[in-house]
Amino acid sequence: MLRAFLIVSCFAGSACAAQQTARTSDSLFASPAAELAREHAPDLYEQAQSAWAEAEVAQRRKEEQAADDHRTEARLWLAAGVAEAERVQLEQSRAELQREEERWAKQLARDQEASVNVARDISRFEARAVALREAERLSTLSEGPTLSDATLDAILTRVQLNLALAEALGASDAQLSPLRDRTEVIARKRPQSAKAAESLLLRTEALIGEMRAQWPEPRAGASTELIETATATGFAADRLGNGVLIRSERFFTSNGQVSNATVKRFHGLLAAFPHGPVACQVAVPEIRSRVWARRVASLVERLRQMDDPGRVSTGMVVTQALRAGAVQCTFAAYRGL
Amino acid sequence: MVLAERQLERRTAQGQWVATQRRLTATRDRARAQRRALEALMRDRASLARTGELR
Repeated sequence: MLRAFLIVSCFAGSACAAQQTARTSDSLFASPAAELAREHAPDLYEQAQSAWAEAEVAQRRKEEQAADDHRTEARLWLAAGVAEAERVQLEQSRAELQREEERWAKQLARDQEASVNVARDISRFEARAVALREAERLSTLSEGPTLSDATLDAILTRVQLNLALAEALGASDAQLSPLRDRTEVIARKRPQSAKAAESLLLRTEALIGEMRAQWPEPRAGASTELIETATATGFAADRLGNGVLIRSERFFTSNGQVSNATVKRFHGLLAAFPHGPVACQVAVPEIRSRVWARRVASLVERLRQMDDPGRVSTGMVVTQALRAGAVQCTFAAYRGL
Repeated sequence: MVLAERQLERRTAQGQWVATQRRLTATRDRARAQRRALEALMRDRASLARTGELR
């Protein structure tokens, strides 16, 4: 591109004029710039050649002045042809640059959209991590030494939300009033022990379950509520064809003990969503492992410590898809709602 | 006259070429920066997915 510019400059600029007068037809029309003009501006190239032919005719007639004029005309036509060729090449190059720009712009748009989706995933992961920490904190209250003001406020807020939900589900004043009174007392006295607050929280969750249990089967939207509640209480939850699948890798502690906190959270979830059987599977490295058989037996015993001990069935499964000790439970009644 | 017109058009084309080249450079730089940002986000997401149980 730069070479063509220089050639054009040489044709059009006065600095080259002296050299040009001495040129022959061959040197003028055989130059790379003239080749470009012939290719991209054939009409102007033709004009230049015609003028040069007329110059030669005039030269043969010994008409020096006319010959000089025709040669100058030929050079000007050729310079115009080269300028035109240069313009055409610039346009072609610009079109190529535009195509490249469009390719980058498309990649940019795709990556921007992908970034939004990944950022959304990150927010979701972070929100779930916060929910998990909060849920575990609440479920270990009775095991902690004292209850902080912030934690007590968080519990009372959740209690009030649960009471509002229970009321929306049809709980009567007779059911709600005693719980509201307890809430007020705890808010006023602000006890150091977590037992009263935790007991109240569990009671409100159970009341929600009682309200839901009055229906013969889960109502529309129940599976979404189950997923939201499970997520808020620190479980992973997915809607599958055969129900809602709740998943956790925290049912066992790192030393293989059943986690009180996780079982307590899971019991709360069972109480709040009372319909139908729940089938749990514990991922184990091998089916004949005695260690895992003992651990799973311990978990089964803990899960059965509830109002309806036969509701949850638990088995073992060997799978590479889950980490050893991961538990997944299907709430079968919450299918397609 | 013809030469002047052609030179003017060439100069215009040259200006447009330079503008397009600048736009291309800017778009390419943005796209590369966005790609780096996306890769960083994907690493963060993978890290979060690994550390939490909630996949």
